[in-house]
Amino acid sequence: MSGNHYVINSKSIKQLEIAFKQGASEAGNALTQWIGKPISVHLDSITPVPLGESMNLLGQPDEPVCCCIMHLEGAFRGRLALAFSDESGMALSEMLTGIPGSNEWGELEKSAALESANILGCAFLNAMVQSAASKDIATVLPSPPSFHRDYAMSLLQGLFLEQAMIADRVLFVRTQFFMEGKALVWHLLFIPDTLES
Amino acid sequence: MAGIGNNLPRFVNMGDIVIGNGEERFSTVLGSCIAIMMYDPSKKMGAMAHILLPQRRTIGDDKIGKYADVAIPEMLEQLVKKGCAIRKIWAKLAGGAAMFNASSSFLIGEKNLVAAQEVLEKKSVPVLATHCGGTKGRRALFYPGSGKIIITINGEPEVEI
Repeated sequence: MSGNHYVINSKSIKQLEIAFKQGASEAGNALTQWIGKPISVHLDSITPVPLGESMNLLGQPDEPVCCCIMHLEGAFRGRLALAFSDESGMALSEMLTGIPGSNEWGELEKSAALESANILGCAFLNAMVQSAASKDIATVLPSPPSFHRDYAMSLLQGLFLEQAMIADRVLFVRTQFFMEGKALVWHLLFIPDTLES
Repeated sequence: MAGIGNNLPRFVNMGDIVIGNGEERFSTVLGSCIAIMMYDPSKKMGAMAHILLPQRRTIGDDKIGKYADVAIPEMLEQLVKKGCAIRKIWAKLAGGAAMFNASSSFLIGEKNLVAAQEVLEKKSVPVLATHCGGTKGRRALFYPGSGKIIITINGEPEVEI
């Protein structure tokens, strides 16, 4: 750590990888309990990439996507975002509420998505804190998640802005979700405020 | 997504500056970033930049299209090199939203807009229209051969500025 920013180097990436593998495992367990179906969460990548390349992370830049975002304060700053397509979000809502056929983001659907993001995010962060070797990482204060539906690139600009202010490459942690062995179109992104070294 | 020859608009990524005319079209997607679009009606030529931040950082970053303070002079220089006259060029701006109110992007969109307007004023380039602010992203489509600009906010009707 350096001030409020995480320093990117091979050692810090390795530490993140250990913490996030644990976080992904716990997040999968929490989601399984919440949804009532077996869900597993796998670490996909922790790689610094040029800022421009990061804008395709959620698909086509001008495709609308949904994002539940938690802002992290304390010793370790950044953002945790659960991103998903309309279709995937509605399927999640249907699983949780038992109300089929909704195709608009009403209060009920948003609430289902936000609560899922909250459970997932908190499980992830708790596991991350417990497995972190560094005491610097031990205080993480997440905000309640907020729901956003907008162009993928518009959302990603907001998510990566803090990093773009100080570096040309951005670091993110991406996970993949599987339900009963099938891949889901959900992405959990963790975007720390970083410095390159 | 991009390019001449496949009928799709050329996509302008963050930090890019592009110049064009004729039948070309440029598109970009904006959150807190700003699209600066310039047009010289006498040459029927235009330029688009997609800036992220108001000022260039001091530590080595040569992608000047990312910053309002250096992107605008660069756009003007490129247009003048192509035969445009500065006194005939106008500008229009889009973007600068406050995407999430718990982060720096809450304020950076507005700072981007103010910085772009200040630099354009210093360069005596009139700003004929803006479509900025709010909390939603925008898609901008620019026709550099005619100066036409179409802005779309997700879920709302498109508007020409």
